[in-house]
Amino acid sequence: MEYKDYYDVLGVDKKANQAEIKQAYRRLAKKYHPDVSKESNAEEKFKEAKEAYEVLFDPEKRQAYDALGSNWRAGQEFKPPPGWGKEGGRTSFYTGGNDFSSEDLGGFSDFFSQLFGGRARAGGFAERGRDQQAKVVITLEEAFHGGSKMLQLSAQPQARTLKINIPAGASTGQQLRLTGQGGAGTGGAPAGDLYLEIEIASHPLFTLQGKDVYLILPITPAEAALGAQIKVPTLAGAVDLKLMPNSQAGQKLRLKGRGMPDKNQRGDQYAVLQIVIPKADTLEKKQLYEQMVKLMPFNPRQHWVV
Amino acid sequence: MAKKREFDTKELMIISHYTRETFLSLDQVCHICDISPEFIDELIDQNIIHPHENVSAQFMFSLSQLRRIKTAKRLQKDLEINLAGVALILELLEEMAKLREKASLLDKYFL
Repeated sequence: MEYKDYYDVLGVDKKANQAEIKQAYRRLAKKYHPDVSKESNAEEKFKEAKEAYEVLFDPEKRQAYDALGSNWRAGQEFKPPPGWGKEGGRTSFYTGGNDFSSEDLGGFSDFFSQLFGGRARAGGFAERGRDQQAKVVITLEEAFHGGSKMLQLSAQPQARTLKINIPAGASTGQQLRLTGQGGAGTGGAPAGDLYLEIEIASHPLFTLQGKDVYLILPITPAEAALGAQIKVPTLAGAVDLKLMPNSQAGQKLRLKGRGMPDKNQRGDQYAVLQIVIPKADTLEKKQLYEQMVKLMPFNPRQHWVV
Repeated sequence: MAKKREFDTKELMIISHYTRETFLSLDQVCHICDISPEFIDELIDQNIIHPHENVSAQFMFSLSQLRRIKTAKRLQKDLEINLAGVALILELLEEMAKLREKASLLDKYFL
């Protein structure tokens, strides 16, 4: 079990008063709350801050923590001093304090549980296992076609493989509840539930906008000017797109019903035109551009007042 | 004996479908989230959730609503904000998710 430096976690001095500790916690909570934060390690950081706050804001807990002495370093292997008289995973010197709800974001660390007890560690009575939440990351193709995804659950008394059937048209945030597949219960109590949430990974070509699928379609100036028949990829395979003459960059062309499947109305695909200019890297090509200027003089900025 | 059990432990295969729409009753939701029915009433008052009602006018909660309830409870508790604030945060988060979608499209457009 590793020693935790709660002062360091909150970034406060060992002499910090309660107001300073509260302020430090609030600052970290806002920054790292997993429901709001986009930081990659948000959940871990938030839990750490919460645990540190739980100890340092409570005068009794803080006193007990401080009594361990100041020679400990964060991450150092921690063994409780002799004479703590642990029973059933609970320390006997501290028995008061809050009851921690299992609906919190996971539990506190082993270090915390050793020092202050806590329900997750308390043996001897029956308690339902913790509910757990996990993300199932799928590709856009998997979301479009549907299919099955295998998941390994290892942190259980028994290793299990979950086969999750994903419907065509699955969307980010969609939830699945597997009763009894969460954390194990204690004392014969049932296990918690497992909640799975779908997340569609970003795709190099396509971008989802709700049920619609967007594709940036690079075209040549000639195709834009003269019109063309272009093979365009969709999630269901390539289709022919008719590009009208005199098309402009930024225009979006709709391929009706080529978006994500949906029980109400299927999404569309949009091709957003992006004109790519051939480089004027030879004399001949330069002359051709110059000829265009002569033949088609126009100023795309004419409505600017500059 | 303990060793033998390890060998007995075969991999279990559990098959589950996202297609099945699950609805939970008020009792179930209160039990899962460890909250009171009054808390649910407050969430409805604040427009945070909109549960369906079945034929006998009892609330039915989808899993995505269950998730919102859990999030609301966490935000209220961890960030010490009232439910009006929670409602605003949830609205802004949805708005941000849409803007992120748009931004990722623009990222692809810019050369």
